[in-house]
Amino acid sequence: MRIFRQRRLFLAGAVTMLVTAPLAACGGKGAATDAGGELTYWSMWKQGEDQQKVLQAAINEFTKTTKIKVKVQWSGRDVLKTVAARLNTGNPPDLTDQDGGAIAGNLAKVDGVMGLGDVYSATIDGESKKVGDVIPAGLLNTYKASNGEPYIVPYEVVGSTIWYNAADLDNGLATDPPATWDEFIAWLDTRKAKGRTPLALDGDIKFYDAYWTTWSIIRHGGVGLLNKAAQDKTGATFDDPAFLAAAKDIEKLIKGGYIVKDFNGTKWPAQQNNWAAGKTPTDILLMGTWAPSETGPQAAPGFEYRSFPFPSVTGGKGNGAADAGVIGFAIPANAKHAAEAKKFIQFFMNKDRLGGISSEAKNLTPRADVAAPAALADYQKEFVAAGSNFFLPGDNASAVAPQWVSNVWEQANADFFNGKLDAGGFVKRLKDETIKLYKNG
Amino acid sequence: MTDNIASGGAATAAQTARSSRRSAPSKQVGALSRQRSKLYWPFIAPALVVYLALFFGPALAGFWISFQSWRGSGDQMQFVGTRNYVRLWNDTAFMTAFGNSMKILVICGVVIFVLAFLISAVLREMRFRKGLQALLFLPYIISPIAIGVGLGLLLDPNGLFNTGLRGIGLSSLAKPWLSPDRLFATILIGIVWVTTGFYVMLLMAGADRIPGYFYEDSQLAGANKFQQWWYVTLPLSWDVIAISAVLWVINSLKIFEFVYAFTGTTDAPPEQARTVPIYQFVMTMGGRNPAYQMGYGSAMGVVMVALVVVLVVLVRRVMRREAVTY
Repeated sequence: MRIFRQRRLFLAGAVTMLVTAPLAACGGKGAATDAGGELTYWSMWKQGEDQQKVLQAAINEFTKTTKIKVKVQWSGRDVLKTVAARLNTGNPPDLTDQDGGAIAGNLAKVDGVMGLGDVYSATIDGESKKVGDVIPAGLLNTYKASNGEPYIVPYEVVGSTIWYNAADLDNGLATDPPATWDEFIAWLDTRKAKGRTPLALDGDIKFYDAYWTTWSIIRHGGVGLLNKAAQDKTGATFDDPAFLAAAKDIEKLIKGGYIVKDFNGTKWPAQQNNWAAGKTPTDILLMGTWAPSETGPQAAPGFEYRSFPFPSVTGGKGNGAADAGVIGFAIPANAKHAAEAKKFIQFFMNKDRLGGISSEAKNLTPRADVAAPAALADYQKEFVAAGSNFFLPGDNASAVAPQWVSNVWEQANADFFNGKLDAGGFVKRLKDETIKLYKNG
Repeated sequence: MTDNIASGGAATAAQTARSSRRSAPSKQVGALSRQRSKLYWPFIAPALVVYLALFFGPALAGFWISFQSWRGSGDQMQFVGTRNYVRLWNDTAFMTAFGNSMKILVICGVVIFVLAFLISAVLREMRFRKGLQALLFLPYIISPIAIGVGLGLLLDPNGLFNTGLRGIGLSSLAKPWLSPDRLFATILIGIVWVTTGFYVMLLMAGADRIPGYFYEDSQLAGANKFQQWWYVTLPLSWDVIAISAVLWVINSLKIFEFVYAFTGTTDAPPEQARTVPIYQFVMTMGGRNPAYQMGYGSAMGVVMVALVVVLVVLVRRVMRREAVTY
């Protein structure tokens, strides 16, 4: 999955950052001295990545038309750590990009980003639409600066959904994907009766275990409940019946023998690769939208990636919600060339330029009028159908309460999935440990 | 080392040098030492500056930061007194990490030294010992990241190790080695495997200095292999053993990358596998969404440095012996 791959390159990235030479855009001779001006852009992408190529092409075109020189550094995923350090010294870059949660946690938390209200009300380069017209407002709910303006302009949407191989007609998912939890369990049982363990899961990654619990809590209790509970010092939010209902559903999965054997005794990406390659009797994988590109190289010949939304539950408050995180631009506070940076954002959001993210980098863009790559078409439908009822990965708990996620949430999920806790014990553990954490914090 | 034994040539030469220095005119010595003291600061200053600026300063800053609440560069520090330390005391996650670090120190320490003694005693007698020694040392040189990743593949439920066990009819021993309940034990074994070679090298270097005639003599006196080791090797390489013990104390409490690579991802490793340096990383820059609690992380650092100092002093004291010269 993308974020992992990003993080996997973490150490390498840190080193690379030190040696990355700024690449001057290929402006014409003397372009820097033109009235166009310049801007400095530190990017999360590295030289050679598909997104880097798309952005570089846009930069070249931008410099050519506006005479604004772009000094770009392809820094890698750790880019925001250096940006954060530069905020203090007063010379941050004019433009940067990262996953929304990372921008929130690294920059916005210390008031280190500019509100981009004027970008949203500006017209996209070469179009009559405004930036605000093409980006669903729901994506920006959590990304508001202190003045209420959104501080991110997303150019990629990532989320989790349930993946399967549509070429495998035996699983029946392409024609009749389960829409409700009961249908889902019934489908699992038919697969199990055929000797299969339908759920693939890399259990060494707690975040992946927690995909299931998070989704179930969202379906039962609605968007924002888990996020609220993560910050509730009294632990009282966990008394919401949605938690127990969700835990009981997931307990059924854990104890029902549906999850692939040894899911917690292997190292990522063993299980997701085995699923794609057909080496284990598994059918579905609840995973981010990076699943096709990440497991693609291992996939069995003819594998056709399709997805269906997490099943709805009876009386659930979050039945229409979709998991949609963003990767996008932000402008650090005190950036010296903010105007030029904003101009570049308006330039890049143009349908054709942004389209490269879909056609070249095989990722979903936030613009509904840009066709998704084939494998992401189902997810795009799920995304569009959600309207603005989005939640961020993990209900954004890790951005607002990172210590709670690593010490309470992930540990409880690990023990839950390893059979050490039942549904009631899981919720109780969450509540008790949350109270304990904040008492001590 | 040269005083009482057969290396007469060297001893004589050294004596001559010493006496000739002693007999040099005192006036000249005065001039020389004056020159020397004049040059003292110019020579010392650069190193001192570098040391103070790059080591002492940051260490002091870390100590200061441990009394602050701070998110790192870009954030205003806020003095919180000893709150970070009180919090450490009450933080079960820290206590688990601390316990794990101590387990590595003690359990791996005992196993590594017992193994190192055994192996170095056996190697002493073997042919191709240099080659074997190098082979043992090899895990220590390989990048811990590579080893972590390699072991992950090797210990997969259907990995080479289990397949091998099944292949020789020991299916009952084939276990999911990386499952949560076994993970830490597997890590302990991994650390032993990686580290033993290094201490074998150290101990053998100590034992190699012992002149062969001590062994010949003890053989003539009818000592068996164990007695030879007990009465000759052990006392005569005691200083090396003491240094090795100190090194182990320091290194074991710093173990980070091996566990990190082993547990796989850049998410926070599970609590049962965290050492203090890992927990420090998780609370500061590490994990999917870093917590950026620099003050808290610094407090952990201070605690660990204090612990290392105490343990090293303790080890030195316990292992102090009259130096045996030979």
